Amino acid sequence: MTTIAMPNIPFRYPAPIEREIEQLATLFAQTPALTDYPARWLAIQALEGDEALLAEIEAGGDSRVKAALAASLERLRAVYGDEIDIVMVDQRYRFVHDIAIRAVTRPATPPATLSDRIDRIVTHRWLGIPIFLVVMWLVFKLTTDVAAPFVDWLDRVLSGPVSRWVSGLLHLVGAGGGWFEALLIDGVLAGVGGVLAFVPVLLTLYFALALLEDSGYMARAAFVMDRVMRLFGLHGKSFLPMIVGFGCSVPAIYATRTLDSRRDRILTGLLVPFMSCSARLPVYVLITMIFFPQYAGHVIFALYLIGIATAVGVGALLRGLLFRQQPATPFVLELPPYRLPAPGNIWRQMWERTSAFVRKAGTIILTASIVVWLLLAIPVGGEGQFANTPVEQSAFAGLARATTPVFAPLGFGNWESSGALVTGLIAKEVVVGTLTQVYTGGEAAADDTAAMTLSEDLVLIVGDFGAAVGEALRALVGMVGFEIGAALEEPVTTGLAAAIQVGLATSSNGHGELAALAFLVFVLLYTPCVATLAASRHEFGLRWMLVSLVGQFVIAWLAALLVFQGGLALGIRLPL
Amino acid sequence: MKQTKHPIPLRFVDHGARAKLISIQSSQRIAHRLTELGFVPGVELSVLADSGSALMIALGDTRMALEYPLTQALLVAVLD
Repeated sequence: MTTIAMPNIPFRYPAPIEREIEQLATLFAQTPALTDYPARWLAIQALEGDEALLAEIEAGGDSRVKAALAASLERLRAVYGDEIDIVMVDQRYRFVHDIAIRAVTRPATPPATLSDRIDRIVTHRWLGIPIFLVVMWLVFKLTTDVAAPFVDWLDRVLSGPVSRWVSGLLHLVGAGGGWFEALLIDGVLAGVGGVLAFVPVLLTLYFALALLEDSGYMARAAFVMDRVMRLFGLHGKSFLPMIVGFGCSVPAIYATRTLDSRRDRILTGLLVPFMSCSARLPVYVLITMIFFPQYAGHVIFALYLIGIATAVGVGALLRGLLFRQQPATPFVLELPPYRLPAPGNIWRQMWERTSAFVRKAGTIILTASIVVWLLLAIPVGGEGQFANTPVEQSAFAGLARATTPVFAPLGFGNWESSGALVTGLIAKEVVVGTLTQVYTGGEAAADDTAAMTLSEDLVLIVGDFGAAVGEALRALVGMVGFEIGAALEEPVTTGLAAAIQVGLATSSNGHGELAALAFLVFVLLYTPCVATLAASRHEFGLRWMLVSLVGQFVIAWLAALLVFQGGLALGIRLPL
Repeated sequence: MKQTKHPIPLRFVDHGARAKLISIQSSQRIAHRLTELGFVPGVELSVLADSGSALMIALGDTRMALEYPLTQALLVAVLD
């Protein structure tokens, strides 16, 4: 029997350094406060000036340790000057280099690798940014067009077969027809639907991001975008969270973890919500199609730009006010060679990130949906009963009316719009749902309750899923050619459109279009959703979450005021 | 074929030219960070790309992006 052991090559620093390491290590080993770590490692860290360790020694207040360290550094300074830490790091590199030279043979001038040749194009000073923009455009096409059919499918399954099954089960046990059924279907199921609607979008978004990260392109994008990110007071590494922010603010806030300093993490986290997330798009589409049908695409594009411009401005302001004392950490980034991504890794990233979102945001969205349902169910005044109240006599309407004075100067001080903005805190796509519900009294929610057998339901679910796959594939093939109008395949019901038009025209004294624009700007800039708040509290603490919440509300309010009152003062009539 | 006698900041080295790192002129903290990344005096480097705010540097088999101020701190001798 033979045993093969790892070759044991001891690494030793030059004698003067070794002497000090040994002395310090002996002392550290006898110091109770410092016995958590290997003594030799501690001695090396202390000599190299590890800030965290020095602070610990300082706090420990052991004067012998402090004196010994100071004496050691003094003796070493006599030999090596001020750069003791550099000398020590250098020694380690030399050791590695020595071994490598003896073990590896390579040409004197290594030929340019495939990675280098790719980089010559991808990181080119002028081609780099256009290439990056094309890549990002493909990512968005993927997350919107390819995920959309699955979102619709989930929606149809939940509001169709699943709702019918729940209702059937309740009737079976004799609890059907009452408020409990309404709570389960309109409160809980709608909430679950709200959470699940994110899943296909997030899975495709994370698929694309994992592909870009694992291939090595993401590091190049950070390098190329460094110059642009400096406009925000940030550097290249912050660009990934900002990009993710166009998909969803929640994962974007978690993505700030990769940044080096707390200053960069918080600053990025505060700017991320201004990147218009995909959940705001349905609101844009609904309102622009009603008020500016000919210019819908342009208005929506302008909203995205306003979001970016606001982030640039807020970034400059925050740097000047809050972070003046803390300079940015220097931008240093290793660029790994390009690799073919491993499917296993990609899948793991998609799964872990998406499930983390569902766990963290899921409960919040679900709770909020139930709260809104309760508010809508509780009658205030009027003669309605619980769970059977006209919307305008519900606690929800009462609450919404209380907030209208805040929005009146912005041109949308009617309770329907205010209420939609309040529920919009839960998630932005809820704005559309609430508008539909309060203006049409929820009549749109009436599903055909025709009796279907279980097998018919299953056939419907599977068949629909197949159709969704087909649609997604068609979208994948047809990724070239971008039509924002395509996002609105179902025409806005004329009743709803007219009601919203009348509502905003009344609240703004006949300047409905200006009010609509102010409303859109407000939707763009105020807090994306409670899930984002939960994420920022989780990452940055309660104080920064409140800064984010209040700051965004103030900015949104001022910007909407500027649009509406400015538009009135200039006598702008829309559409131009 | 040009050979610089005096060290110049890496920032001003032509793309593709090879250079040898002579010294680091910066605060202790940044010098420490750079040496930890492998920027130790004596290594050979070359500049591969310039983003307009940072340089992409080849350091052996490693490719590293460094912002302009850092590349100004690295004094090098151009080899050929």
